[in-house]
Amino acid sequence: MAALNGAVENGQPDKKVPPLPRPLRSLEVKYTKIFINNEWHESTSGKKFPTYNPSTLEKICDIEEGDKPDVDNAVEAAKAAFQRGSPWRQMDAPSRGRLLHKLADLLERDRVILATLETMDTGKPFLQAYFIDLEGCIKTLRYYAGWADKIQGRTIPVDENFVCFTRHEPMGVCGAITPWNFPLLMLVWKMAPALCCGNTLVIKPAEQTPLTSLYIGSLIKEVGFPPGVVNIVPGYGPTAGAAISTHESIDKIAFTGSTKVGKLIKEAASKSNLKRVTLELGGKNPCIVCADADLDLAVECAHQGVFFNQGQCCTAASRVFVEEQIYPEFVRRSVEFAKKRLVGDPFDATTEQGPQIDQKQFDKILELIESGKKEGAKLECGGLAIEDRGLFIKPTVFSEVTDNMRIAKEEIFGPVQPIMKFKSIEEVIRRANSTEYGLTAAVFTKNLDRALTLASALQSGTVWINCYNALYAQAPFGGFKMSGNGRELGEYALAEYTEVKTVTIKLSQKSP
Amino acid sequence: NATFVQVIASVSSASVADVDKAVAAAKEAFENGEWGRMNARERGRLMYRLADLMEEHQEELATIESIDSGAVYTLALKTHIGMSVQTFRYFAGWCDKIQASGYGATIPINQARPNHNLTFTKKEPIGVCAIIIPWNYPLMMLAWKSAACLAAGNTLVLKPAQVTPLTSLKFAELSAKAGFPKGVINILPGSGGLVGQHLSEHPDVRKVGFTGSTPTGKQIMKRSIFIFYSAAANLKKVSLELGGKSPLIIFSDCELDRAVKMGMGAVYFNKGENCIAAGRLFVEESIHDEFVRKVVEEIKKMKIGDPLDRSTDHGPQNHKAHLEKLLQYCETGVKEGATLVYGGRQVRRPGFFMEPTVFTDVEDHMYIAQEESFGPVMVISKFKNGDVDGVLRRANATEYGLASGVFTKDINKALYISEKLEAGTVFINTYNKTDVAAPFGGFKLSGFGKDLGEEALHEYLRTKAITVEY
Repeated sequence: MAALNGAVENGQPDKKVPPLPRPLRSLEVKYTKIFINNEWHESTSGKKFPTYNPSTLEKICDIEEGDKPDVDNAVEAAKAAFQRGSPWRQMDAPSRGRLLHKLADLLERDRVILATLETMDTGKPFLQAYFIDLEGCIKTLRYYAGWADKIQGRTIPVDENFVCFTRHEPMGVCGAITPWNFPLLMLVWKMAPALCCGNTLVIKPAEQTPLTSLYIGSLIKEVGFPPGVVNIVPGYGPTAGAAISTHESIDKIAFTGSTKVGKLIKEAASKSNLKRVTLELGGKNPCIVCADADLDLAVECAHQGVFFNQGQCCTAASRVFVEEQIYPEFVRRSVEFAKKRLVGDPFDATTEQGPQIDQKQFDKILELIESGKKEGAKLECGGLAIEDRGLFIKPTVFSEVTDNMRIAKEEIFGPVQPIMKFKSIEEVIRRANSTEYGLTAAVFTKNLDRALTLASALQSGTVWINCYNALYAQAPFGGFKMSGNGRELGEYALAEYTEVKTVTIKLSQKSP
Repeated sequence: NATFVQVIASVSSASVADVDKAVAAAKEAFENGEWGRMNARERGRLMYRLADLMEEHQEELATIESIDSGAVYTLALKTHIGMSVQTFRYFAGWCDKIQASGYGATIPINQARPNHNLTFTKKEPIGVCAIIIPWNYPLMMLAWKSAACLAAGNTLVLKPAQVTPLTSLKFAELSAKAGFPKGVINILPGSGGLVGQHLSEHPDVRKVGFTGSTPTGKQIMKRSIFIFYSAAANLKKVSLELGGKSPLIIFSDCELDRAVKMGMGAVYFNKGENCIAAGRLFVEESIHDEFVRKVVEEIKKMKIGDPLDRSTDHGPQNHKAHLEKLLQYCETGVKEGATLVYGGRQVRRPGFFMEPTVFTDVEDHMYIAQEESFGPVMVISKFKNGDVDGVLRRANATEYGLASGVFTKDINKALYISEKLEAGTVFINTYNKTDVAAPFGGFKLSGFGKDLGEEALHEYLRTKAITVEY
């Protein structure tokens, strides 16, 4: 038996700092087809579509383009896998949990591959893909693996001679349409609770970023999920996506993306078969900095809050409200941060910001920046593209922004920080809430009263106090108002993937 | 070694000073160590790693368990070790969900103007917990209690039964390998009278969990009353899982072959050294004789032998004193007038082997109708056709209330009876089907508190309500 408890030989973690992971430079993309029943298929139409690397603007490869017939095949497979008596339905809950744990193990094993693919496909810095996206995926899978055998109904006291209890059953075939900003992470946020609760899936990843979602198909097969439990159909929104949202045999759809498309999906869901809908949509998230805040902390959090992931976050802190006493100083420090932000090759370990995802987004962001200049905001730094560098935009800060400006109202989804002034708490509450969105909000203050008053008054699904983007698999996430319906993560997500059945048994009145 | 009656090994016996040292280590680990600072998810990771190590070493653990307790190897592998692994995995998954499931509730209380109030509750671990376990499922009883205790964030000092310390010690080695910080898990082999007693009295121990089984119910009662009173000195939390005389009611409208098979499992599983063993069978008159005949037929097919032999069905009793008590128990049964249909004697071979035994014509006043045997003794009483309320009254006429069972195809009867039986677990058309997700524990003198399931976590947590005015 080893001598020392606390020694590395005894299983204690090695306290030395590990070297930074490095991306795989000549990674071959292995998975480019449609994944149904644990097999790879070509598209029914024979069509393919290209996926590009936004840093180099080069095509990475061609992907099979799924459309309605492919979605139909996927749904057939998912339905069969969900039939009573199927291997998936017969599997006991702890075994489902074990599969999710094993999937997490494989993500850990292939973490560098997945982070490399994610960076190639999205342009996000490799180290961020590795330490944030992949970390979140692994933690989320393990969290829901633990829930699988703990999904419990209730026994309910009703009238005498009746026995009443609820069962929390899986919903059935779940459709998932995922975005391009955190492709794998947003997929895992849906896949983990869906599988934990015993459902089957038909997934359509964003057409800009299919690579990591397809790779995970290979891991699903390797881990041993029965065929048909997870199916992945790459393709476009109006074709494959619409086929999913209108499908008569899909029981539930989960979507992360723009509010505009979210509305279309909910409408399609209602018009077809009233499938259950959860939506994670956009935000125009207020970040409120009070005069008594820890200024360094507030500046840094607000900065990361808006610029993280090239500004392409539904949680982006895209309306910064600063109490007037500290306004000039806050702006000054924010500009310093923005000017220091390193924009470049996402595979470079020092890069903090990569390119925007595609030309369309790039153009939209620049157009909004122009509107800011035109409508009278003060451009403090940035404000244009990095010439001869493709889709890269300089970190941009606007001050003297007023509520009526487009940059104060519309979701920019780019590296642009609009900073506004406020005088009183009541005023900032009113202004922060004056939006159709309601995803997140942040408050920087040392005062307990102010923190709790704001936390209760802000119409947001998440309120962060003295922090930003503090997301945990254990804590629910979702929007008020037009930022979405329903919640992902935490125990709450389980409700989105289970159907409650009440069983009421009458006992004969006569003594048996 | 219950099979070959040899000494397996000599094991250090803990003294009072050792107890003090262990409790101090557990206290330090809880208050100042990594364990308290570690995030809940990390605790879960450690527990999963430990479960994986236990699974890796399952054959070794099952062999040790078989040699130490006489458990048949195949059962040791599947249940003793198998369920222990499942238990750790189940509770590992709870670690980062203790706040989530209704525990940390924000409670709407009156909003007095002009101030507002916010109340939220937190569930916290309690500190150093003492766990005292029996000899019938040494590793599994360790797992049932330790897993919930650790998942809740506590540290522990555990005393295995004096006659079966070995798997607990192997477990200790695996916990170090898994990377548990020092002081979180402490194992003290030793006597109940010394170590167990001192743990129950110790002022730094915040909770004592005890599962006891001895040949007579009265002895456990005394031990547990001691524990309870010692614990009262510092008002530590107590949970007790004691014996049972669990009734199994078999109606004529059951599936007979299944009732025979499960009824036998209910009595002879783990050579009867099972706290939920069916201590009395009530068989409806019209099928009684057929039932007894079939049971005897099946007993004759049971292979009695070396528990390490993969084909053995029935192994030796745990230790000599227990076998002797069992033989006395059967003698008393005969003396009081019950009919000994089969068995009743020691098997003629080396080792503490007892014949699977069947008594019929057992009347409610008899010793064997009231006292737990904790051995392979089936105690059968007849009941009049259709006398549901009568049999229920007899089934409930016991100071115990650990488990119970009913065999019937009729839905009304099944649900009516499960409602009326005074027991912590009711099995319908099955028996011994415990599950890591289902709370387990008795009513009345079978004890209080639950092992397993979400409820077990409650035993190891305390609630704090925080109210802020702003």
